[in-house]
This record gives sequence, C-alpha cells and structure tokens, in this order.
Amino acid sequence: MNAVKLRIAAALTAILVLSVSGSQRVSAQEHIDNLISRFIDSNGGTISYRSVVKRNPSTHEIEKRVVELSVSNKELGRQLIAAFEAEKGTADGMEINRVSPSYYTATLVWSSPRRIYELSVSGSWVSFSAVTNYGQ
Amino acid sequence: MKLTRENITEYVGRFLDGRTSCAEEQALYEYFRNENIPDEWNYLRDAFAYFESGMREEDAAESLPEVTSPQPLRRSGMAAWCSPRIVARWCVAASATIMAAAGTWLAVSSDSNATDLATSLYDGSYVILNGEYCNDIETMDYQIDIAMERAAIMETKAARLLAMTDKQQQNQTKQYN
Repeated sequence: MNAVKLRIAAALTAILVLSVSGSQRVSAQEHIDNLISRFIDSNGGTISYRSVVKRNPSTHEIEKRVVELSVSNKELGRQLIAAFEAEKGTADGMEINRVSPSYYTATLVWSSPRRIYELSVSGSWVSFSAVTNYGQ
Repeated sequence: MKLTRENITEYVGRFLDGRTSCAEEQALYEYFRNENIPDEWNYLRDAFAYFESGMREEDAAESLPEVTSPQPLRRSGMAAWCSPRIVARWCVAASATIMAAAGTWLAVSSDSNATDLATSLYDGSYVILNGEYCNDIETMDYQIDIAMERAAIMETKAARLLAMTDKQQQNQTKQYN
C-alpha cells in the first residue's frame, strides 16, 4: 500500500513539474511577445513591422504566424537582449553570439509548439523575427 | 499541267488557300485519284476525293467554263457559300473562336479564384511601414512572400539547432553510462 501511495505521489509530482515547466515556456515567449507588442503600440515612428499569418485552406485556422520588426531603438535592443538571456534556459535549442557589447545575435527554439525567435542587435539597430507554428 | 513530287507541295498549299484555278484543281484531283502517289501524301487522298465530288456536283449545276489562267475560283450565290472548302474553313474558324473564348474565360476565372484563395490564406496579416498601417492582402503580396521566405530560413536553422541539441544530449548520456 505504501508502495502504491509512493507511486501516485511520484506521478503527481511529475505532472506538477511538467506543468510548471510548460507554463514557464509559455511565459518566456509571452515575455518577449509582450515587449514587442508594447513597443509597437507605443511607437509610431520609423519602424518596419510585418505580421503575416498563414491559415489552413480548409479550416481557415491559423497554422503559422511570422512577425518581423526592424527599428533603430537602443532601449528596445537592451530590453530584448535581457529577455533572450533570461529565457534561454527554457529553450530546446539555441545559438547565441556576443561578438561585442554592441553586437548581439541569438536564436531560441522551442519545439512543442514550434516557436523560433531570432534577435540581432547592432548598435541601436534591432532586428527581431518570430515564427510560431500552431497545432504542432 | 503536270504535277510532280517537286511541285505537289506548292499546289496543295495553293489549293487549301483557295488560289488554284479550275485546271489546277482538276489536275490535283486526278493526281490524288492515282494509286501511285508518295506515302506522305496518302492522307490527303480521301480529302481530295471529297472535294472532287463536291466540285463535280457544283460544276454540273452551274456549268462553269474552264479557266486556264491562274485566277482564284469564283462562284455565285448560295453555291459559293455552300462550297465544302468554305464551310470547312468557317467551321475551323468558329471552333478556334470558341476555344479561344473558353480559354480566356477559364484563365480569368482561375485568376480570380487564385486571388480569393490567397486573400483568405493570409487573412489577418498586416504591415506597419513608417507609421502607415496596411492590411490589404493584395497590396502586401511582396511583404508576405518575404515573410514566408524568412520563416523557411528560420525553420531550417531551428531544425539544425534542435538536431545539435539532441546530439549533445546523446553524447552526455553516453558519458554518464
């Protein structure tokens, strides 16, 4: 009986750990998404922003979303670098290059659902791209 | 007038263009009635037999004099319009016109279907360029292509990074074992 209770407790713990780590993944991506969304909403100036969704031709549901932002903004660059560094621990794959204090590139990949975030900061120039595949 | 292997091509061409005289046409009919014609012209034997039968009936009805100088064949009244050659030409022209019209209609309808499909596939997309917002899918066509190409490049890189991570994990597992 004790062995059974132990097994149940272990299973519940595993479920709790997985759900917490899953929520951490969601919050990591949400953190970066929120940074971008707030910047877009507050800043009208010289930015280049693309948000492209691709839908399933049969169901019309969104299958893929591609977001690209290019802007000259030092503060946003610093915020995004900090966000990428904070969230890289939850990524399933990554590549980070810190060539110099003013040149930073990073790619973070989460596999389920498949999300890919890329950041390139060169001086005050920021280039951010995100691909989200829904339903994978 | 004698038709030979060398000049038959020219006379057949002129016949089909309606530029042969009565004498030349009679020569052509006689030529194709002959059993010993080159194999490459065999396929026209039945056609000229048909033309000859039609021309003979019209000749019997109108009794046209033989024209020796090379002049286009002229007929009067309904007989001219009912000539098998002219009817055949009109049928070919009508068929070509119908096919062209059908092809144009298909092309136009498929273009509009393609546009509707593209618009619905990317419904919800938008761009902001220098403070200007645009969500017209047709206007954004180029921007959509760029975004999709960028996504393909990123997905290739992501697959590579995930494969590298898997390999590193496998190597670590081997070390621990």
